[in-house]
Amino acid sequence: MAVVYQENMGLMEKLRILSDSAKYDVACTSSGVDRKGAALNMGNTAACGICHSFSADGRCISLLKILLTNECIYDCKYCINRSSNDIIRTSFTPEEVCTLTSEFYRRNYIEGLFLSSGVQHSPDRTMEQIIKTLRLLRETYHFNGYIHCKAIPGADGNLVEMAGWYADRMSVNLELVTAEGLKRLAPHKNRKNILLPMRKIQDGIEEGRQMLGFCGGSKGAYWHTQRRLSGKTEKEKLEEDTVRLFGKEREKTSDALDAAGGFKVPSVLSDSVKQRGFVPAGQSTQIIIGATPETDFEVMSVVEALYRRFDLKRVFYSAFVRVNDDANLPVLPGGPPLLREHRMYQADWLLRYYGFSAEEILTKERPNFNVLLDPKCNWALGHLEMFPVEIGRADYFQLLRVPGIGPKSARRIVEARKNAVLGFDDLKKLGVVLKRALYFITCSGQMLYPTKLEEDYIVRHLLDASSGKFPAHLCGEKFTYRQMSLFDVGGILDPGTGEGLCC
Amino acid sequence: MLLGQGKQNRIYECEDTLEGILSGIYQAWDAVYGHEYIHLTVPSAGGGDMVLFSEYHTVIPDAKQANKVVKTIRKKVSEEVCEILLGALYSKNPDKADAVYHVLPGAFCMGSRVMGNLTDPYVRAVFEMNRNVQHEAHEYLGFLRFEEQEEGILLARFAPKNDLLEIVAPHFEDRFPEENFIIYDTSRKRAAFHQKNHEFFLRGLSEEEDKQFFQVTSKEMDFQKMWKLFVETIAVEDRENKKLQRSLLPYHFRKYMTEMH
Ligand code: SF4
Repeated sequence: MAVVYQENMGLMEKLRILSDSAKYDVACTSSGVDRKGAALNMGNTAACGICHSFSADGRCISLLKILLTNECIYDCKYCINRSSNDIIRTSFTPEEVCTLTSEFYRRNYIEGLFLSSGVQHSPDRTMEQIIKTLRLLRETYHFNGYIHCKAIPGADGNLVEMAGWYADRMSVNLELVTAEGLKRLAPHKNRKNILLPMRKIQDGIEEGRQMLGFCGGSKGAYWHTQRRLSGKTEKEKLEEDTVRLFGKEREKTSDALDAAGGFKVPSVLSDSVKQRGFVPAGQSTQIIIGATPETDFEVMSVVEALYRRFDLKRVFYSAFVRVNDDANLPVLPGGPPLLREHRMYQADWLLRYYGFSAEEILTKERPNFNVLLDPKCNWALGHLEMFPVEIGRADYFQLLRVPGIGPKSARRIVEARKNAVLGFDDLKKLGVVLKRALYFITCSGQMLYPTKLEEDYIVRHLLDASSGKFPAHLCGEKFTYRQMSLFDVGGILDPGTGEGLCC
Repeated sequence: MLLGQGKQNRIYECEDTLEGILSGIYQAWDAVYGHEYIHLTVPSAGGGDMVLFSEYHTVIPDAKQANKVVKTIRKKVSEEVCEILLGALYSKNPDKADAVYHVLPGAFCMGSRVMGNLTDPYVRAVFEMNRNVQHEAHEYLGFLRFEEQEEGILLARFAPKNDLLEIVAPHFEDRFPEENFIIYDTSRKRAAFHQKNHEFFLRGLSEEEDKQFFQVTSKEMDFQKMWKLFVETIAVEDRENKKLQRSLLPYHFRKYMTEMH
């Protein structure tokens, strides 16, 4: 008994250190893949994600988020684990990670594991250690729950691919959107060693699906929205993708990887591992907001490119927290830029679900988000010539562009108007936020009140309506702070298909 | 309310179980009395204040009748609508039986499109009830906490507002096929029992029986401590927002959550 107690004390201390240094990674979501349980195994997964608790900062806890080790040979300026910091270093053994994961899981504390790591010795050694841990968890502990793991920048492509067979989701953090930013704050990283593993994962997902018929990598919301906007069926869009990815237009990064050997299913994998497929929940990345001076427009343009060219499921935004005292890091008087981060998530939502492009949301001339208004409202006020929109006639995507109408209410309107002529009272019941929408819509040709279709007039009234709750909650509609934070961490608002907001 | 004159309202009082309410629906429908004069209540859920000049019927639950109703809805309307109606019947709302009953005439004539008709008050009520039930059930999929007892049995207690046992138990059965576990609804005094590799079943469980289970092991205490530590450590101090935490995890969910005490 005494021995177990001692061991547990040791484990406790490691857990404290290695969860503390993992906490700045925000992608704590377990969504994107639906998998039934299986005899002799423990675990299943839910596509819509499940939150198990909420920490004191209001973020969802759904995964055991830990580092395998906080030792690191690199020296990223913004990171608590950088080599130049004088902190206690420790590592989990693969067995310890498996024990914590499975014991937490059977008590229903978590949906699964989020395994990240500092770079110990070399990127390859670190990746190997991650693989060893995940293999043990899947094959020996029969863990069938959710696993998210990091691909280490600079690691060998074959190792990255191997990890993909054990994980549900993988991510490589871009962290900073410009090459200069990376150079200054993360001197050991560059676009190439970040984008290469990203492309490797994307290729694995595509090839896995196309050649082997694995369930891997259901498409993200961005893909589905673009598909619907262009009026294509899933099949047509997939075929188009094949040409893009494997045909003439194939991009350079992939050519480099082709030379290193194509995609094959490693023979060491067990059947149950193969059945889960290759990275079935797709990949994501994280961007730090406010550590370097790029504009919001630059950030959103890069994000749009990531969604389009790398088929990412999600991009997460992390307001910069100054954990190191370093002359290269900005001092932000207001603390972490939470409002800016919030606006990023709103804009991201517009890209993925509403069919907006980055250039509609922001421009070179007005490259930063409006502090007072959410990006959609901001867009509508700049395009008053497109309003008012008639509820009885407007198509789904037109409805979506009305402030106060979200994907759910737009869908309900389209459905309900088949049965009845809709009035303003009905709209309220369908979930439309009338106090925002009323300036932009007509029902049977009538507006709710006589209002002016004039920018200043509407802004004044919108801000009044949110009476004093300046600034975060002022943009009610589908973007209440509550929902954004849920969405921020995945939670129930991260659909796998883009067809609905919740499962 | 029709007073004295004309046709009297007829009220069917149902037991608060799926079988009870579905039997009520069967019997009321079978009476061919005119839907607008028929109401279903669930007295034990707090519904059904006595109304003057009404005729009261007490519904005796009948499994066969209940099954017939479900089958008919599945076949004549749709699988999906049937799930929504049944979901609503797990609601805490005492008007659930009446609302579901009055959605049916429309459902039989419009088919699966009926739930899109949200401007109809009964459809809307059923929609809301089901949504509320599913939402609470979804929350508990995450918020439920199992404690390991002697012999490795996992025990979870919860006190949901809606009657959720039958909705959450299948999720955990699928997740933990190899575990023996019990999920106990402490306010309804009922529990779902799952024995390794068997299907779960429901039965009543008294407080006395429940107390006997309170035998957590020292290993259990260690993991509870580690979990608490993890939840504390993972919060970013610079972003502290207790208000947000409270709105996402309201107090009534926290009663049995290890890390919140
Ligand atoms: S590679 Fe950079 S970000 Fe990652 S642990 Fe090391 S110092 Fe931190």
